[in-house]
Amino acid sequence: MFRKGSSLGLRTCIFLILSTALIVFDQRSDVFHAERMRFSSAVAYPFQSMVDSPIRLFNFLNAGITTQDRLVHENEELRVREILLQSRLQKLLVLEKENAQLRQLLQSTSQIAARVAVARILAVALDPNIQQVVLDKGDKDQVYPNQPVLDGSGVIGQVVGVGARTSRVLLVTDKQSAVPVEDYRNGIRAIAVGNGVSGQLTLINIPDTSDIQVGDLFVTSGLDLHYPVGYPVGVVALIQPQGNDPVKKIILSPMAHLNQAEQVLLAWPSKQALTQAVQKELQETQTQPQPESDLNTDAKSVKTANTSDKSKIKPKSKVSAAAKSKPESKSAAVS
Amino acid sequence: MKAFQETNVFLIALSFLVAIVLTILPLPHWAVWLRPQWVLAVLLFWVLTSSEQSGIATAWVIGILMDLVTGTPLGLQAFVFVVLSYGVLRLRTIIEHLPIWQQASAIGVFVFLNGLLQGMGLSWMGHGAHIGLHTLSAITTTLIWPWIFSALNQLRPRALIR
Repeated sequence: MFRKGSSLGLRTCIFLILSTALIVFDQRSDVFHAERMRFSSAVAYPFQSMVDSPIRLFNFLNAGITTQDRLVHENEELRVREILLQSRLQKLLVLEKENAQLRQLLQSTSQIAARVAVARILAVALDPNIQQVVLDKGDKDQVYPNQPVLDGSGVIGQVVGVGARTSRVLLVTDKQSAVPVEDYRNGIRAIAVGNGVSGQLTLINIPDTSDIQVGDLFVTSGLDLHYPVGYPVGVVALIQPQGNDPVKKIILSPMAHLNQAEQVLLAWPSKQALTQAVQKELQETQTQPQPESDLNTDAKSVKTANTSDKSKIKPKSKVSAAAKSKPESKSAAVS
Repeated sequence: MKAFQETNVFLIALSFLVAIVLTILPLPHWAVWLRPQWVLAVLLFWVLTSSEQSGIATAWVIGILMDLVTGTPLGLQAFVFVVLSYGVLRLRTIIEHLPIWQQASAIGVFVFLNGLLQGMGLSWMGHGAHIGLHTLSAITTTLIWPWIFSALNQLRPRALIR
């Protein structure tokens, strides 16, 4: 259809421009990105099921040979139940903390009644640079963008793309992921940013003076209004002083079993309860005599949360840029 | 000629399908970076051997498909594949007549460039990228190229070449 030689360069240019246009649209336009995620889910689904179903069938047959059919079913049911129970156990952590903090007030606002459903991670690989997984639930199961994804022991990540039958989840260890967290022991707030391939997270915006020790558990603070409050994210594995830099490097290892997980929990936190809980918590922080730096961290977390509020998470550089900007008034940031 | 081309198109499509399946097949954690770039290798084979049917346009379509299936930013792999195919088309007469292992090394260089360009693109877009680890897949692709080449060459109808 084309003559060789002279038109080769021209064709190359045309397709390069076309690709560049797609890249720019994909990065800049949230609407385009959401539609593209839907489309990509539809296109990828046949390939994914081509890989996933034989593996599933093999696993199933494997189980069928070794045990009796009924036992297999029972086992599967029990596994689902175990995951649900474990997640409930994790919620008890929040309750405990609340009890200790406000024993006299027994208002039920801050406990988030979340609906959860079990989803399966498809046995397919994505680009190794991209720390994402594909779930077997999508639009039809009311999965929505930014939805939190958990497992029995911690936060897995959040939904970044929803298709008809599948959805894509950005793991907390991806460089584009930022989760507002707080120290379970003393309530110091921070943002946990993914480290990429190493499979760990880094806390940003922590002043040198703050009391954080190796082994501290960090739980979601809920300030982004997406994640449920008080769910474990990671434990402090390493604290590195950075010479003269007043900021320490704090590495978290994730609580969730990001590599081994086969089944995960999709949570539907109640937006209203979450907002109330966060507002209440922020007010409490204000009334208590707190060091100035800590208050700054609050506003920063909220700011970051708003940045990630879009259907697509912005590159990390932007997140930290937003976090570094001057803290704004809290009421405005929360609303 | 017409019917002949159609079978060839079917074979091309089938080879890409197999390559994509091999690309998204889950691997153990330690082996993830060793996975050969199946799709790129198959693409470069077709660009090299039957550029009448698979050239820049095919590279772009396959790149878009890969972006959709492997989750990279839309257009990134398409961009890189088009650049690499252009390079292969330009150097076609040289690469074609190289001894098989030298040819494999040449392909390895292209696969490495693929990792480099993709990694640069990903970092520029704020994703993490480990460009150094891509060298591993360039090596495995080099090692596997002679087999890909001879397998596809066997299947490819020869009448056109004569």
